Amino acid sequence: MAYIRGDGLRKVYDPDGKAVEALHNVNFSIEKGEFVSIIGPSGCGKSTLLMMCGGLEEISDGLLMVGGTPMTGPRRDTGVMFQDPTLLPWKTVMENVLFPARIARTPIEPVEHRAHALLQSVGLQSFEGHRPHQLSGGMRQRVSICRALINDPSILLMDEPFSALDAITRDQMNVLLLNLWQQQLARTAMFITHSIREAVLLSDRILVMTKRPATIVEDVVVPFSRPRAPELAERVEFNQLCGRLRGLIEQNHVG
Amino acid sequence: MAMLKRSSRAQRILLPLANCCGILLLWEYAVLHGWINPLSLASPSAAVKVAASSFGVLFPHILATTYETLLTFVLSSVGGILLGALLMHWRMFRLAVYPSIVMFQLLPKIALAPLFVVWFGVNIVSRLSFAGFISFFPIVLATLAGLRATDPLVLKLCSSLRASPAQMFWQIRLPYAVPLIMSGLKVGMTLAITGVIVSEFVTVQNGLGYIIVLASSNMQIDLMFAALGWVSLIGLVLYGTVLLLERLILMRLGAPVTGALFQPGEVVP
Amino acid sequence: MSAETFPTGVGLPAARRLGFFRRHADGALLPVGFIVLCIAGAEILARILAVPEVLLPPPSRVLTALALNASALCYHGALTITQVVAALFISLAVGIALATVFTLSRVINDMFSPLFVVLQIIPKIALAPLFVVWFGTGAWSHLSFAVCLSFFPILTAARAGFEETSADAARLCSALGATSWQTLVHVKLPMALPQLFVGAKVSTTLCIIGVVLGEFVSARAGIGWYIVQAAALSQTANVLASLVVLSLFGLSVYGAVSAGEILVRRRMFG
Repeated sequence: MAYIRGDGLRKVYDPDGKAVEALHNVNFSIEKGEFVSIIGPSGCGKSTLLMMCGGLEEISDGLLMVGGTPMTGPRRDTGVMFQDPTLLPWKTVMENVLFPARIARTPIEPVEHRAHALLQSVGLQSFEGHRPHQLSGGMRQRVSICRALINDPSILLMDEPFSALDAITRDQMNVLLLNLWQQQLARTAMFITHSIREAVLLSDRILVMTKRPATIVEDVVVPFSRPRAPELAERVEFNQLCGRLRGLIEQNHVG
Repeated sequence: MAMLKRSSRAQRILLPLANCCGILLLWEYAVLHGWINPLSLASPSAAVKVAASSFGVLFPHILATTYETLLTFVLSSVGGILLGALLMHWRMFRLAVYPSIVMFQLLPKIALAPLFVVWFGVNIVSRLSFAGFISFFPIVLATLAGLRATDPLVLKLCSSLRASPAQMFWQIRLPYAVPLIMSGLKVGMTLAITGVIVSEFVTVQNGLGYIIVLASSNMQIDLMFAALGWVSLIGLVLYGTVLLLERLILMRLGAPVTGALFQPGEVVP
Repeated sequence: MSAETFPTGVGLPAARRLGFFRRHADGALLPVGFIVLCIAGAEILARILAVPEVLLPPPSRVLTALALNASALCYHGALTITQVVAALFISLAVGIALATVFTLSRVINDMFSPLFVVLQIIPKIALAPLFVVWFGTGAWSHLSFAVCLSFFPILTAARAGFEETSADAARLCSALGATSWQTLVHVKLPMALPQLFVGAKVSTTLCIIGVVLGEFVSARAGIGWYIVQAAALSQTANVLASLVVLSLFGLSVYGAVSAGEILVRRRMFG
């Protein structure tokens, strides 16, 4: 049974009278443990869809089921990452990672162990007492990953988390996420990106969205077996798949 | 959902109006039924009644306050902008005088109101000079800040185009300066009103400030509230006019107009 | 970029420090010279040209007045500035509390915001005698009048600060299931602190105006009262001496608030 499932999802914005349909009849299903990327033209509603799956946007029409229950609001078992790391500048790295636990008012001690382990797995164990302004963009995004994972979520939602980074840092982050993903317990992930290569490297499936009013027009399986290594990106099959996806997107861009 | 919805336009207009009516009614009721001592707080109806009945008496004072405020504002604005422009263009003068003006701004000049009475007597001159004294300097500083706020890249462009200093001033510096100058004029208007009223308190001769002090000493609370009502009206109209002027000019210039009425740094005593 | 290269201002080499002073000495010559010129000019005008002391007391006379009346001036000055500081704290409390209410409840915000905007524009300075009617001639009337004048900048600053919280931070809090109160306390309030200090600086100025004006209208002590007495006796030198004392006290408060602002910025935002 699908873990996240959308049937006929629709989203209409109504800014002062003029109705704008962002999503129209979006259907998709994601199995437990799958890593699914969503790509499509800018402004087509990818973020809206992701926010709906995170309970942060209201659904105008249609049904969205998560873990067998209809979506009603933000869930404890969901971790979110935005393009901006959104770290609180007056808190240390450690305090930022612990922030979700503080909000949820769970006992801190067991969570602290997890936080140490997570920060170590992303290589920031010696930066726990630092402030965000002392870190680079890539480091801040790594803290953001830890924060998203602190409550041990079964679903991870990521909205273009690496778009604001330079190319080299971005590649490093892709490798990091890939390794983290494959080492830790399988989680379900939805990942929005503009980078086809990023999507192909990380995902099990790629959903292609059209322009507004957006639907999902293609559902491409990424056939490479796991665990994957970064060298995958140099293989011919990888680049062929990227080329095919590029063609699919361009078709829908024009259309 | 945890997201806070935006309230509809209807809600944003009707709620405050309803609230205002409610407060006025409650106030009226409270005074009528003696919950509030009428010697402390006049009811809205009493204030309006007195305002109407004593209009003849109040009118010359309303006129005096309005006239003095406007005159102060005009003189301060013109003088302030001129001095600001002068400071901008005469480097020696600016280097010598600017720090003194900034320091001068830090002094609580309002404390000198009685001194102006000592100097000029109990008359319109002392009131105008005091109000002008307070409202002049912020306009100077705002004008100077505005004229210096020109984008340096635009200035470089003009230099490369061999623009004359006059052209640079009228075509480039002045338009860029307008938002800050308007900001200064708002403060100037506020301080002109403040200055006039404070000096009316101190000279106790003429004007709505005089009426308020007189009424308070005679415990004529409804007259006091009537006068306060007039002061509020004058303040709203005059400040509102400058505000409107600011919006019009900024729109005409295509400068960004913020939605907020007040920036955290804007003072309206 | 390693965290060890975090820049600090401490430990500049001695030569650079000397150059700093040398450069700034040149820049300070003209304004200092101007001030010296003004004071000297005033002294000369007053003494040699026999300008009446009522109009322009020589600066030396003002200094003498300061020295002679030092204890009285300090007493009244301290009285006034205590009220100013108290008014500032109360304004902060009132302003932040109101901003909190406005942020937490959309309905109350819509009902009362326009009212407060109008209240902010009307010349509240005219209310000074009313506060005397309500609270008499004691410190309470000056204090409450000052609060009435000066909580508005705090309210404006707090609201601006609360609203300024980035959309991402607000979304983060939503995603974590934080209540409005949690969002306010954990995110919006800390984010708003720099703005609050800006508002507090404006508020300080207004508190001083409020208390002094209150003392003008009716009082039995305080610097404002002292000035009115001195003016009634045409003792211009004493009035100016009072202004000096008031300015010093006022600037200390303002300076303390500014120092607080710098501390908070540095500690919180680095």
